[in-house]
Amino acid sequence: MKFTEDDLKKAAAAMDQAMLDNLPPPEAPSPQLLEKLDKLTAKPVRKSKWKTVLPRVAASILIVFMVGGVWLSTDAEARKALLYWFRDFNDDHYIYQFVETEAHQALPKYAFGWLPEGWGNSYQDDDSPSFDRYSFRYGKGTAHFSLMYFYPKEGIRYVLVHPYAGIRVAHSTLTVHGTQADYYQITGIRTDRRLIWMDDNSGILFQLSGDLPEEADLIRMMESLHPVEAE
Amino acid sequence: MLIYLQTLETPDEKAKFEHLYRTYCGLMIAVAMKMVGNRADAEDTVHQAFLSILKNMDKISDVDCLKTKSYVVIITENKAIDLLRARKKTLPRDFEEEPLGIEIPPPGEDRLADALTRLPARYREILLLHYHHGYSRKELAQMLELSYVAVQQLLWRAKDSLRKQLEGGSHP
Repeated sequence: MKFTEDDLKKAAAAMDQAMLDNLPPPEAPSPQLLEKLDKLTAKPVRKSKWKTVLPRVAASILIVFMVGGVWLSTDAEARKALLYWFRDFNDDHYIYQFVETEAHQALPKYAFGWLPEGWGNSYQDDDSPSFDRYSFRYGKGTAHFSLMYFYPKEGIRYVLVHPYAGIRVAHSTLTVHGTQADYYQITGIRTDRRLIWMDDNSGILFQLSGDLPEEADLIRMMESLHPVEAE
Repeated sequence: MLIYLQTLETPDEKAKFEHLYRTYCGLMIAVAMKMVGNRADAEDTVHQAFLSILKNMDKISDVDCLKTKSYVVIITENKAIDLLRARKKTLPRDFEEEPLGIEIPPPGEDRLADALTRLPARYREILLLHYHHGYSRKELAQMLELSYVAVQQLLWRAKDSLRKQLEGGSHP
């Protein structure tokens, strides 16, 4: 039996109605779930809350300083730039929130100057105004990783969530261009690795995730990242 | 671990999202419970579903309409399957072909619609979202966290499975 696109539209509508007619009765959500959902609409930190943000940012810097001692080597301008993205670690959320309010000019696209042997650019996934995402694949196999970079915009929040109880997250740091980068190794019912790095000059937040190369190659790769002309 | 970019910047957007989860949270828990079988996993599923919906709030114009209700059910089903897949230690090769979705009785008026209800959940979902909800392949890729190519393949396989279902009457 052949069917047309119109046939499919009509059939999909009929199935949708059948689904809606046979849904189970709602069940009351737990207070814990409602609290989690409430958090999703929490008001982003604005300049008016700068005073409450600063000590926390300072605490983050202090922690990173205690771990690596590198951030203090950046100059005053760079330290100011570190305030672009405010990190907040909760029980099940890692939040990177942009807290500056000054306007930014159009930001460039980026490309790697070096990739480990066997890896190649696969495709660009998105063209969102807030971020770009590129995928990379090893040979013709299934191993792949993604590069995302988030443009600094007022109020924007980048949130890592691990909502499954069976997930363990190990957080450590690597050094990229003399700046500390957050390195997450997720194990349990899912495995994943992520490297998150804030560029001091542009205010862009970079993230690599997926089947990442070993640490030395990972750092070399990140340090080869450079702006290119937009197509 | 998953990620989202919070883009609810205006009070109206936040109010819309809050209205959405107050309206559908209970239904989504019930749908998830049918699939994952326990309360804790059902609430995890619903949380994941809302994170996904949050990223696509701009595609919801009317919280109370039936299309939105259908959309949140489909996303909940999708996230429940994700959780079940993540928890399964050994995946069959074509896991997405396992009909793990919610049970939908055949409408009984249209052979094609009846065949759709018998498709594996992954196939049903993408056909519903594309042909009934009108989401483009690109929007589906963003919504389901798949690449554009993967969406194309999934649509092709879903239609192929539907054809086989109609020709042979056998389950995929």
